[in-house]
Amino acid sequence: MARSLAAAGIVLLGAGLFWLSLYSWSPFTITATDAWNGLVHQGSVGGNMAYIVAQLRVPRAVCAAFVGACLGLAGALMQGITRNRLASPSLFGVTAGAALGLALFSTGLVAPPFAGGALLMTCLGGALAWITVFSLGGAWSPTTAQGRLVLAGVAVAALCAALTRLTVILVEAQAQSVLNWLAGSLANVGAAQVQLLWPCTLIGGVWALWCAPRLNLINLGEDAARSLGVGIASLRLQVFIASLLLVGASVCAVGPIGFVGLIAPNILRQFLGNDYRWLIPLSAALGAVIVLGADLLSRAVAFPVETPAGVVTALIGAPFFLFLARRAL
Amino acid sequence: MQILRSIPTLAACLLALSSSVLSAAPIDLNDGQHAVHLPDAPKRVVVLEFSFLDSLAAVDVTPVGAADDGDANRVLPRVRQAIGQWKSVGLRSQPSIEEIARLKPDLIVADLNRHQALYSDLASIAPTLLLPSRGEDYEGSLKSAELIGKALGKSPQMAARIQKNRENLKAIAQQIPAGASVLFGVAREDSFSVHGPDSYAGSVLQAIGLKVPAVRANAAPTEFVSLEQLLALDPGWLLVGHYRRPSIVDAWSKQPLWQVLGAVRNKQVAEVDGDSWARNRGVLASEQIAEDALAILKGGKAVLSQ
Amino acid sequence: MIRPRFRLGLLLGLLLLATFISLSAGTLWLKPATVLERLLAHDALDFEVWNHRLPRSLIAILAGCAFGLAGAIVQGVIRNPLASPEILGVTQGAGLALTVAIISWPHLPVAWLPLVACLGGAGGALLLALYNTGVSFSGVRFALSGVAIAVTLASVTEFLILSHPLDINTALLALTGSLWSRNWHHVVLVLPFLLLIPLGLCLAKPLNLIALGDDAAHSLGTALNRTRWLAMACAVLLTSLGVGVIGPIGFIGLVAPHMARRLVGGHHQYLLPAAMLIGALLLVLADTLGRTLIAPSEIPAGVLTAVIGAPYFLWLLARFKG
Repeated sequence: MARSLAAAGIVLLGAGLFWLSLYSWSPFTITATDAWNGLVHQGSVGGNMAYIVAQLRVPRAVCAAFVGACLGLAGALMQGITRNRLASPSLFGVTAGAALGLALFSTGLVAPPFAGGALLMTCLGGALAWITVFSLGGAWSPTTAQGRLVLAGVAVAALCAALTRLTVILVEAQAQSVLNWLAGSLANVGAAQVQLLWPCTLIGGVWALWCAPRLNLINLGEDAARSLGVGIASLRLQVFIASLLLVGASVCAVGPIGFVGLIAPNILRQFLGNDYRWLIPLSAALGAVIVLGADLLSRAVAFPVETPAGVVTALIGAPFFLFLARRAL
Repeated sequence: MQILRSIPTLAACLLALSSSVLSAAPIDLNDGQHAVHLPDAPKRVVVLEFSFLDSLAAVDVTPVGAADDGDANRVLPRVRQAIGQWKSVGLRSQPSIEEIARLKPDLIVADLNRHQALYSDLASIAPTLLLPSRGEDYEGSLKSAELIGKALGKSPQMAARIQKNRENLKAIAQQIPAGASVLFGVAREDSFSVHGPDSYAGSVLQAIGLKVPAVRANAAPTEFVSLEQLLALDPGWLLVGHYRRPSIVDAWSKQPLWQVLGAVRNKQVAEVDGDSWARNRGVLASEQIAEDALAILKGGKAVLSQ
Repeated sequence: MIRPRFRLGLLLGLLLLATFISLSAGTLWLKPATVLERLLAHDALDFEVWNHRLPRSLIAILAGCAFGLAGAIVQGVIRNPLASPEILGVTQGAGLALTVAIISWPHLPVAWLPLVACLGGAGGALLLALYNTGVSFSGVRFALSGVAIAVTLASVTEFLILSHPLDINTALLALTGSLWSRNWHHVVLVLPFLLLIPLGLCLAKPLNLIALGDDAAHSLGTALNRTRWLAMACAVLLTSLGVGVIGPIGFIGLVAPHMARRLVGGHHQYLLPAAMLIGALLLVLADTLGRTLIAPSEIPAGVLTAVIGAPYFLWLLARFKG
C-alpha cells in the first residue's frame, strides 16, 4: 500500500516537473496553451512558441527524464550487487571513466569511425574504470570494509579526471573547453540525444528488472543465494553490462552528472525497504524526478544564464552524501 | 578621401622632426600599476598577448619574441605581414620565462590578467608594462596601444595610426546601413558563446554604427547561450566564428527550428574567422573586423558553409 | 639482502641525479659543465639555472617530500592502502578558498594566495575534525568522511567557477598544480617544511605501533587517539602548505608510500624517509617532463603526476589479481 502510494507520488511529481519545464524560465513568454500544443501536436498547431516547445523543450525534458532514469537504475543495480549503499556510478569512478572515453572520442584522439562510436567509447571508458575500481577495492571479497570500494572509486575518478584534462590540454590549450567537460549539461540536447537514450534506457531498465529477484537473494547473503541456485558470476556480469550501457548512454548524451545514482535508491530505501523489485523501477522514476528538478534549477539559479545540471546535482548530492557517510558505517 | 591621404604624410613629417628628438631620451610612463622607466627607446621587445603584437604592427616594430600559443597562424595575417618573424615564447597563459630571458629584451609587455604572477621575474629581466588585454573593449585597446607607442618612443606615429584607424572606421560606418543589428558569436563543438556589446568585437561593431544586442542586463562581455536564447535575441545579422569543426552551430543549422531565426530567413548569416574577431584585439584587428563586417553587410553575401 | 639503509641512500642518490637533470633540462638543454658553472657563478640575471630551474627544483623537492611524507602518515593512521591526503578535504578546501579569493578580490596581490590556500586547507581539515567528533575512530570511516567533505567543497568550487567565467583562467591556473612562475619568493614560503618534515619523521615509532593493530597498540600503552590526531594534523599541515604554494597535485601522496613500502619494507623509520624521497623524485620528474615535452609551452606538473600514477595503478591492479 505504502509502496503504491510512493510510486504514484513520484510519478505525479515527475509529471509535474516535466510540465513545468516545458514553459518556465524561458527568455520567451510561453503560455500553458503553447506548451500543450507543443507537446501534443508537436508544434504543427499554435505558432512559433509551440514550435519552440516541441523542438527544444520537449526533447530536453524527455532527455532529463531518461538520463535520470538511467542513473537511478545504474545506482540501484550497483548497490544491489555490491551490497554497499554508497555504490553509485559517480562515486565509483564509472562516470569519470565514461567521461574520459567521451573526451578521447570528441577530441579525435581515439575515435572509432563508425556510427555509435561515441557510445562505444563511453561504455569502454566506464568499463575500464569499473574493472579497476572493483579489483582494487576487493569488491567481491567477503571481508571488505564498505568504504574501501569508495576509496578506490575516488582514486580512479581523480585519475580519469586528470587524464581528461590532459587530453583536452593536448588538443586545445583553452580553459573554457576543459570546463565544458567537467560538468554535464542539458543545455544543448535535442532529438539526437533522445534517439540515443530511449533504447538504452529501455534495454537497461528491462534487464535490471529481470535481475531484481536475484539481487534480493544476493542481499540475503552470497552463500544463501548460491544455495538457492543463483549464478553469482553470471549475475555480476549482467549487472556489469546493464549498468555500463545505462551510464555510458547518459554520459554520451549529456556528459557526467553525478550523485543521482546515490541519492535515488537511498531515499527510497527509507520508505520501501530493500526489495529490489520495487527499488529498481522506483529508482528510475525518482532519478528522473531529480534530474528534471536539477535541470529546472539550473535554468532558474542565474536566469537567463544556465548553470550546468551536473553542478546542481553535485551541490544537492554532496551534502546528502555527507549525511549518508556519517550513518552508513 | 583627400584628407585621409594627407594625414600619413603629415604624420611622417612630424615623425621625422620628432624622432630625432625622442629616440635619445629616457622614457618614463605609468601603466596604471607601476611606474616604468626605460633608459632609451627599446630595440628588443617581447610581447605576451596578440593585442600587443597588433600594437607593434601598427607602428612597424618587429618584436624579438611573442607568446603565440605555439601557433603563428592564430595571429592576424595583416599583423604577421607587417611584422615578419618572431620567436615563440610559449603559451599566452604560461609563457616560458627562460625563452624570454634568453632573448635579452629591453621591454616586455605582459597581460595584467594573466601574467601578474610573473611580474617580479619579468621586471628583473627588463622594464615591464602590465596592460589589460583579455576582457578589453575597443576604446580600452586603443589606450593600451597609446601606452605601448609611448614606451616604444613612437608616440606621434602611434597617435597618427590611431587617428587613421578612427577615420577608417568612420568611413566604413558611412557605407554600412545604419542601425543594423549584428550578433557575433564563437562556436565550439558543444557551446556557443555570444560576444556582447562590452566585448571587443561587439564594441568595434558599435563603433561602426551597428547595434549589438545584449544577452541580458549586466551581462559579461561573452556569454554562453542556448538555441532558445539565440531565438529570443533574434538578431538581424548572425556572424559565427567556428573554433572547432563540426561546431554546435553546424548541428543547429540542420534543425528545422533554425529557420525561425530572422537572420536565417533573410539569408543574413555569415561565417567569420574566430581568431581574427575574438582572439586578436587591437588597431589592425579592429580594421579587419570592420572590413569583414562591411563585406558581409554591404555585399549582401551571407553564406553559412556547412 | 640489501639493507634498507642502503636503499635509502640509493634513493637519495637518484634524487640528486634527477635534480641535476632537472637543472639541465628546459627549453634549452644545458651541458652538465655549464650547469655547474652557472650554479657557482650565482648571476642574478641568470634566468635559466639560478632564477628559474633552481628555485623550481627546490620547491619541487620540498613539496614532493611533504606530499610523500603526508601520504605515508595518512596511510599509516588509516591503515588503508588507498587513503591519501588528497581525499581528506584539505586540497579541496584550499581550492575553494583560492577560488573565493580570486573571484571576490581580483586585485589581491599574487603573493597572498599561498596564505589563502593554507587557510582554506586548514578549514577543510577543521570541517573534517568537526564531522568526526563524537565518533570512535575508524580508519575507513575517517577516510570516507574526508571524501564526503572533499566532494562537497569541490562541487561548491565548481559552481563558483562556472558562474564567473571571466575569472576562469586565473582560477583554473591556481587550481591546477603547477610549478610555473614559482621563484625564490615561493621558496621562502616553503621554508616551514624544514621544521614540519623532521616533526613528521618523529612519528615513525608511534606509527609502527599503530600498524600492529589497535589492540596491540592499546596494550602497549600508547595514547592512541592523541597520536592519531597529532599525526593527522601534521599530515594536514604538510599538505596544506604544499597545496598553498604549488596548487593541488594528486597521486604523490597515494603512490609514493606504496613504492616506498616495496623498496624498504613496512618499518616507519625507513618507510617515512623513503616515501619522502620518492615523493620528491616524482615531483621533480613530473616538473622536468612538463617543462620539456612541448617546450616552450608547459604541461602542468599536476597533470603529469596523474599520468605517471596511472600505469602504477594498473600495476597495483595486476598485483591484486595475481
